[in-house]
Amino acid sequence: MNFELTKEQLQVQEVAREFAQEKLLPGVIERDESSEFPVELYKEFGKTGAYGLPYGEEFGGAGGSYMDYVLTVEEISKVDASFGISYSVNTSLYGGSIMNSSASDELKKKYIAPITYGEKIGSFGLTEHTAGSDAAGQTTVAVKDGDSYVINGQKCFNTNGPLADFTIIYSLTDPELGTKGMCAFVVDKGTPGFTVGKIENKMGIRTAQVSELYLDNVRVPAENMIAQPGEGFKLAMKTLDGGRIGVAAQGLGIAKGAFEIARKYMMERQQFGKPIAKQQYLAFKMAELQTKIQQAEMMVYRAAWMKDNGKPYSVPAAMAKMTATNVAMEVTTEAVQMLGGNGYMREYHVERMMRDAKITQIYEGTNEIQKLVISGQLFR
Amino acid sequence: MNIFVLIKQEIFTAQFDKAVGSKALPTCIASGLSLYDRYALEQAVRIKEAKAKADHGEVNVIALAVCRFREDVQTVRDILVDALSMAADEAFLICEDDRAARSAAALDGGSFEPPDAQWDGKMFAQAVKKICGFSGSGSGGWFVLDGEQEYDGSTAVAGPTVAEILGIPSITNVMEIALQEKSKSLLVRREADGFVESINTPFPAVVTIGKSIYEPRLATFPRIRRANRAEISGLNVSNPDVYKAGLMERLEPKTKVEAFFRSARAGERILIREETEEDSARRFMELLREKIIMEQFF
Repeated sequence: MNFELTKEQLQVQEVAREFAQEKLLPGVIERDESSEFPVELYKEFGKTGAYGLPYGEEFGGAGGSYMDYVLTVEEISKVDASFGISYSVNTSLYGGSIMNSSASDELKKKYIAPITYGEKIGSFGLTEHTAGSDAAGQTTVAVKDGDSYVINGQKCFNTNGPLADFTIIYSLTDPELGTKGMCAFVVDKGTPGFTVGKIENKMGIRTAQVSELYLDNVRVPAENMIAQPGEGFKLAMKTLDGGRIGVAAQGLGIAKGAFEIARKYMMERQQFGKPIAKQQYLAFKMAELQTKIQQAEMMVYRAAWMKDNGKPYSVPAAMAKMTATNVAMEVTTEAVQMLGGNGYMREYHVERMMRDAKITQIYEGTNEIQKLVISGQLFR
Repeated sequence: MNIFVLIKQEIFTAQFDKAVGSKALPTCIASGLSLYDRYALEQAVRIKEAKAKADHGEVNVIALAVCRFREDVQTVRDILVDALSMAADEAFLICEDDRAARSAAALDGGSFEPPDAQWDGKMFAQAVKKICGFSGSGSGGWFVLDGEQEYDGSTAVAGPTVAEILGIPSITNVMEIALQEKSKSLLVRREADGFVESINTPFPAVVTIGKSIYEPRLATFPRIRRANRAEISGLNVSNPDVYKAGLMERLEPKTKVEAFFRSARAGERILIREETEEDSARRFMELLREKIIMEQFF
């Protein structure tokens, strides 16, 4: 058993750290206010091969591991959690859907290679207004017509939706069959009838572009079906297991980012004639938070390690996601408190991190759903 | 065509305090490529990319490990992995080991002293000669780039020393290089005191990068993966036959560090916080005049 990162992992971490600190940090507050997605920065980070990081080079990926991917999402999210989720959805939900599917190698290559280096962006369309935590409540329907399928329906809360060149659309072939008839397609931007609906105005992760997607008689070639009828639900669940490790890494990054701002502030901020770090009550609070961050880190890295080593990772991923995102919420809330009035002001970053942290407890399976996953394993 | 980039070791500044009062620079080196090396490597890879037909194997990095501890060899190896991850095609590790050097020195009846900048230059010159088979004549399809300073105790002379030993041109303080394939020459822009020179030099030549107009690129993840699995050509660090094998000529450093001090720290810190911004600015100017920092401007 080894708790140290390898030279290779440290290098991976360093690339993401350098990009986050030097490119994402300047302007992160302004972007949060304007809600503009940084397209150029997205492309720039893409040059490293980040978005296809955990996928094989034979499919156009960067040939790294899930652990590598987790380290990068964490570093990015320490600074800009909006960028973190755009990245995470692109890689683990869009890319994960394709790589976990039974799609042909050619199809995998066709749809992974362009995202790896940031030339294209992917998104993942599962959630609907009637199908949130209960993903089985889908109403989007795909009907076979010759050698193609015609899809009708509506998706919501689609991260990267307005930007995406490729979107995974989960749908039912027969509403009577429910999830037993669920399938999945990869749909290209610009396909007639496929349009972007309302772009959401959000509390946090403000530069991540989240929207509704409308499918009005969208004709998709049958070869773009990446999950056959009956396989779609399993594909979505398996993909979300991996996605949760990404969100867990995002939560871990937010927590570490906010913690570090608070720690530095406490050493500089003088009250009652000494730095507030010398107030034992506050120092002990930080000791508790640091311990919780370490707990979360171990769980997140372990979940990634289990995925990389071919072990069942559904429950570890759920535990890591629940733990790390709860820690993110707690640490950011306390960080705002540590900074006092300054913490409430935008220029100190922590209020943004607190807003960003909230969504991590909700998306890719609420933390209540994570408890369902964990308890389901306990009592089956 | 081959471009050789000499890779340096940065002193790990956290070790400075320990070395103060001692007779040597700290031996602990920082991990990772130094900024100047990244400038030099970025220039090298841009030259390669600008060519009509870029071949693999053109950008070579050479690092020198003067090692007190085995861990330092590993650190230098890791620095080469960083260089491969960023842009280099091939990496060469030239190792010097205290024990190897001491036993070789004992054989010669001499004594071993820690290396100096001239020694570094000689080692590099021999490495370049060895790798590209340079015999001292003919134009040869290669040149050397190095970042200005740091590994040589910030003396910035290793590049020029390499050029001197090899008998080829040396250009320092360079900002930008363009390869002129037809005439087998380099068009170099260098910053001099208050002006910029444009210089044409045949190659081989040694070009020392002062500051780059290009931002060094990030390593890519596929390159990182391959770099960590790449073979790094080098000498066996624990092999005392380094000299006997004739791979290196026996070298003695000429200079010796007598003492090592931390430079004087900046004086007191003054916080200016007047009633208004104008008053603060006025106070700032007063202080500058008081401290004579700005004398020449008034």
